Amino acid sequence: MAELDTRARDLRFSPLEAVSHRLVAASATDSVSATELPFTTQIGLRGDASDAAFVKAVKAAIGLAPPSEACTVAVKGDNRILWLGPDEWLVVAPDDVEGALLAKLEKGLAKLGAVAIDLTGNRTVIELSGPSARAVLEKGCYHDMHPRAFPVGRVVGTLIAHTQLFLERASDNPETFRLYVRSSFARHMAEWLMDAMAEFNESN
Amino acid sequence: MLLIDCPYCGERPEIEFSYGGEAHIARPENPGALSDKEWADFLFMRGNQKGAFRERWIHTQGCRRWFNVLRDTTSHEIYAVYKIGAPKPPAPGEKPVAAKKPAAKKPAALKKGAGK
Ligand SMILES: [Zn+2]
Repeated sequence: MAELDTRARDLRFSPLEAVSHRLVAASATDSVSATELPFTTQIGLRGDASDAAFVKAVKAAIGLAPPSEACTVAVKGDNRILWLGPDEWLVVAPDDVEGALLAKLEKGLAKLGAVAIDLTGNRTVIELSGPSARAVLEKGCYHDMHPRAFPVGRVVGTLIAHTQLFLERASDNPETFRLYVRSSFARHMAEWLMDAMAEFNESN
Repeated sequence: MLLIDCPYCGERPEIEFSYGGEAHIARPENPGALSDKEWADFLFMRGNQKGAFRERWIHTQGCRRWFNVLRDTTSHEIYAVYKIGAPKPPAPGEKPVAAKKPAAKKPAALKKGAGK
């Protein structure tokens, strides 16, 4: 896939673009803020983490090994690999590198019975940050988000507001969560988040 | 709400999972050789035990993997969770011989059909 030309880049819009100004308004607080990280490259990986050749091929393409420990994230610079299942991962990288990454991955994985598939656009990322971020998420999630059960570097597939997502604790300072939400559910998630954040916004 | 110990992800709330009915029901190797009754037995007839029951669950919202659960159908107590293909952990009070019974019974019944 060729890299996006300028015109295509100008024409596209992200799942939460239409509510971005409202997200900014809802974030006018020191307690919690939400922003969309749009247009990330996303690549699904299937393979065997105990196969050294698979790990090597992924590492050569992305600079990161797929994490073998359940529910963890490997991060290096702007690239990350999320553990989704015992033989399944999601590569998340900056905008517009899916063509280059896929070419490298496919070359490395071709003979291994492993698969890399372009999932860019399947999900968008919402970053929720601030001292009250956890309190906001806990209103609609059964997962234990206390740091002792869910420290930085963890990711879980779970439900928030009845919506499936991958939830990552990305940082502790300030407390930051990344919500990988399917594009068609992103509006619903954003509306739910803004409602859940309202009590923390003192200007309301 | 049950807390189910996914063999891959650990303890998670029940809403992340979906139920898959009784476990260890092997699909007949040669369905064409079965009588209608035997085919219906395979499709529809289940143990429906009161007490310890082996059943399948899938971690739909998490790792999307199937696995087996040994659960008490009256108390909801989960005695064991084990991966597909792993040996069956015995139910409380169950002798190892009894644990093998259902597995031994099913292929025998199917063989009878295949011989017709
Ligand atoms: Zn799981």
